[in-house]
Amino acid sequence: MNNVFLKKILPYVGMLTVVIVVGYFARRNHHTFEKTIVAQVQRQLLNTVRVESRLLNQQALNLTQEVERLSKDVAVRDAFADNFSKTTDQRFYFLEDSYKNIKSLATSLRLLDSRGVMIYKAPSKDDLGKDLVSASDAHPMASGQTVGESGMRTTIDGKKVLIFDQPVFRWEKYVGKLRAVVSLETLHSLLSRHDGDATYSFLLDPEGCLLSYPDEQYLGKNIDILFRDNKLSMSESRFDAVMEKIKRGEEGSGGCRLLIQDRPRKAEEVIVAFSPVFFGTKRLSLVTVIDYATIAEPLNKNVRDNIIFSGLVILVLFLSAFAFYRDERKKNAELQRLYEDLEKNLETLRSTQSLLVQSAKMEVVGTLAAGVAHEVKNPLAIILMGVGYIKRHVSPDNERMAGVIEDVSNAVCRADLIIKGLLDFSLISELDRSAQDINALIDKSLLLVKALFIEKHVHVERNFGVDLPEVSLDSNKIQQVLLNLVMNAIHAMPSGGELRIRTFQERDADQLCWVVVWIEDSGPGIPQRVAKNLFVPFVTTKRTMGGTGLGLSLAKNIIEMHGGKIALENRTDGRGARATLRFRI
Amino acid sequence: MDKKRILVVDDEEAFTRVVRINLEESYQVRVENTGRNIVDVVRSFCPDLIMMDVMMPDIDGCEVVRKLKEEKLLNDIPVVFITALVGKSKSENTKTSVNDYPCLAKPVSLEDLIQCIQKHLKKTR
Repeated sequence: MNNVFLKKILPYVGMLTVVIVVGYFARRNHHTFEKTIVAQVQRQLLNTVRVESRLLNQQALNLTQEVERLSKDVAVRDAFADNFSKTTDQRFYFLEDSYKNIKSLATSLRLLDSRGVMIYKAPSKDDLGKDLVSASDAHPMASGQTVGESGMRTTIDGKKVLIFDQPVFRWEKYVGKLRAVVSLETLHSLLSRHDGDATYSFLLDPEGCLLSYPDEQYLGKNIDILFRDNKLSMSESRFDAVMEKIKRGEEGSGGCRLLIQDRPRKAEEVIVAFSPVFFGTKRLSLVTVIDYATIAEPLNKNVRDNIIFSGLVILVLFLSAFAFYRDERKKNAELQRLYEDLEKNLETLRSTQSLLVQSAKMEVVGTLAAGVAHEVKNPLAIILMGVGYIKRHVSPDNERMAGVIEDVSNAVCRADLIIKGLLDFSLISELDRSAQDINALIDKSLLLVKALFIEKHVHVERNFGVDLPEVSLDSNKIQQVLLNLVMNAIHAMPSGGELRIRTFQERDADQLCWVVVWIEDSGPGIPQRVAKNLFVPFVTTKRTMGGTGLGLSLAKNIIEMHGGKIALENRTDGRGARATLRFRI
Repeated sequence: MDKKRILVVDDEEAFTRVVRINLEESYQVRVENTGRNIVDVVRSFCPDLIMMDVMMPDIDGCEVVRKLKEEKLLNDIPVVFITALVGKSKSENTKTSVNDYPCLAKPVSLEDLIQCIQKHLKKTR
């Protein structure tokens, strides 16, 4: 379970974590960048609005000072004397010249009597005698206020104007006022330096009335009209906080979202900077707005850079992880291979150990056999030589004696045969191995007993596997084994029969490859009573035929010294015995 | 005509005794049960054929032959080794030999022994 988690799930969790971490840092970087940019833009915008407000303040101050000075002139010139002629009196022509000083800001300069009736207007005289302002425009502070008054008024044609009134006193008696009228269009023209749609400025009075705006239709209207559909609440737009500051006449900057009425786009992020402008006693606010989209380009570039950088980081990490993973897999494969090699070597070691043990045993047997052979053969030689002497000196007619001599001779020969068999054991502890073709070895062995096959009427059937790999064998000893098995088969078929020899290659359950030799006869099979002791030394069913019982035992030892296997069993079809030899490839 | 002289060297006294009994009718046989003084024996006895055991307790048969060769005493004396270490079937093969000398395996029958002696004596004639 843990292994599956480590191998299958952990890499994906790791990759996801990397993506999240890189994404988090990219986002944080973007926010930091955005804050820096916005702060920079806000600073620049505030500087701009400060400069503009300073210019406006300067112009407004010029206007109020000029009107104030004129009001004194008007008083001096006895403007409101009883014989004042509204239409012809030329005492006020100087106002025409004075107007020229303020015409950059003021639309007109008017002289009103204490009832609010316009006595004179510069530059035009058309409206003389008319009460151009509504009744409510009659000065509310007729009680002798000495400072200038300004405010919003609505003209008879419905237009809003900004006015600045300066009272005129004669002998400390209020006789009328001098009024400078500033149209909103003029104000707007003064603020016409906005850069297309991206940056624009407008003047607001403390109530939120738009005193200038790029689009003239909104002039004089409340700023709320700019909000479209009320889809954004004030808190959502953060506009109220900005408006509060503007209404308090503060200077500052901030960001908010607006749904601009005359713009097709949805909510727009804007950056706002504002600064107060004083027009007489009237406090206005100059507001400059910049569309957030103008800083979108560097921001988008930053986003693009962030994405590319993050992508590269993730790619590099993934590639590194992939390389590491591949390296790990390679290492694992290498380890697996080493492990398999070790297993193989261990198997070889075990097999070699077994062979060494077997070899050591055989060496002991061999040493023993050699010693016994030497010690036994000398007495046998004496007996045989003695028998020879007796044989030469006994009359050929003495048959009984001749028979005894013959028996003694045969017994010596048999004892010698056994000794010889034991000596063979002493020789198998050392193998002279080389790569051998097992089919060729079998053919060579069969050739040695070819005459015997004919004599015993044994038909040989060979079924050799093709392309069998060569096996590392001691050819002489394996031939000895093959001959032993073939001779056993021939002896099992005294009246003739069939000897079948088959070779093939097979893979066992442990995936080990073997070359297999089957030697089958058509004799009576292996008797039950000897089946268990076939490979035990000196167990023989052919003692009368000169068998010593060492052949199979020796064959087994030779095959095992080669790391092979030998088995002797009855054929499954019940028609004889089968000897099986197996050699590792 | 003098009998041919055969020197039999073997540490097995019983064996040399039976061999001498069997051969002395036809040959002049001298037996030695040790290989130590063989050089002197050969010099004095002047055998026509030496039958030499390979494994003896005091000295190796091959070593004795090497000494005889060094003394240049074997120029025309054939040597037949007789040993208990070689199987019968192998000794009958003419190629089977000890140090290039023919070899008989114990136990050997009297017939085989006489046949072998005659064969190698003929070569020296």
